[in-house]
Amino acid sequence: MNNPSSDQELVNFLKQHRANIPEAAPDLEQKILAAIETNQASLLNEKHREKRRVTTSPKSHDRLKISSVSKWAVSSAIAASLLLFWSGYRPFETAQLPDEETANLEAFLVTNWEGVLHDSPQETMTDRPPTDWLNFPVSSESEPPTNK
Amino acid sequence: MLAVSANVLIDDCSDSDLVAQCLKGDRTCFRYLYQRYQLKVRSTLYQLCGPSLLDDLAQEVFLRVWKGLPKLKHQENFSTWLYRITWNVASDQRQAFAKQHSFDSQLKNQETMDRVILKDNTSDLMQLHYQDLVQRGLEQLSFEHRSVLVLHDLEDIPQKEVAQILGLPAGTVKSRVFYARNAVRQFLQKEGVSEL
Repeated sequence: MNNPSSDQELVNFLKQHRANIPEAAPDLEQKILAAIETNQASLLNEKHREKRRVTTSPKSHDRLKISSVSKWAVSSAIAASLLLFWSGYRPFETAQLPDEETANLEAFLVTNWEGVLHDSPQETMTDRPPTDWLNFPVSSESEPPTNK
Repeated sequence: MLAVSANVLIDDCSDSDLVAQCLKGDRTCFRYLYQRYQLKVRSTLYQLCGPSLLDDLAQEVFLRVWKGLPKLKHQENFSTWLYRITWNVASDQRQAFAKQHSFDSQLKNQETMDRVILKDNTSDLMQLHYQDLVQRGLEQLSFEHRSVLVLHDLEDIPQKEVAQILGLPAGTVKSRVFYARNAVRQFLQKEGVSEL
């Protein structure tokens, strides 16, 4: 471990015998300031050009037009597809009946169901006998069936 | 007389005042900042990258500073930020040198040394010899160790600030300073410098 005094001696020696720095070119300061000016001017020009490009150039106009047209096209395409989807979906939906018809249908279903539950003879029995449908109607003109 | 009073006024201006003026587009204030810091920047660049391209690197530093000023959040930390940019530029240049495989040859270029010696022909030979030794002592360090030694010991930046500049924990900076000093001391002693 070096003691601080020997460190200080070393530092002093280095400082005392450091190489002389070559002098700057006499016009270096002017060169730097000129470079700064050029840099600033080119920055300003670039900004100005950028502004002009955005505001006046026909290409940018076209680009703006194209972009606005494409925006419209995209939004209208989305709207049309939504409309198509909605209209295509409609037929699959059950028809909505008017309220009056719904009420009638409901009343009919209730009475019908009650009839089944209570099994009233008036409504279940008809004038015809239950096996009536088995008999063939026989008319005078028709021939009786033969087994020949 | 006017120039003197102007200089006094500039000296009174803090870095953050000058930065604020620069942000308003005042390039004269940037000139003052340049004048205030150019020697430190050049010195750091010189120690880290050698004499070649020194002016170009200094120009790059100050251009980056100008471009980056709007992003500087803490204007009172301008000098730390400036050193950070300087170190970044040096580091980039170091990588470029490494790509060209010519950094060492450029640093050891005898022609460069001759030029320095010719320029300083009034200095005594011992001073030149020691300068050469210090330069070589720094060159034999890794870029990381050289950076902390240059910033802390030669540029007098506190270790805490060096840590901020290099984006390192303070402990790492401390240990690197310790290692770098030892390495340079050993090199100098091996070269016959007995006074350390």
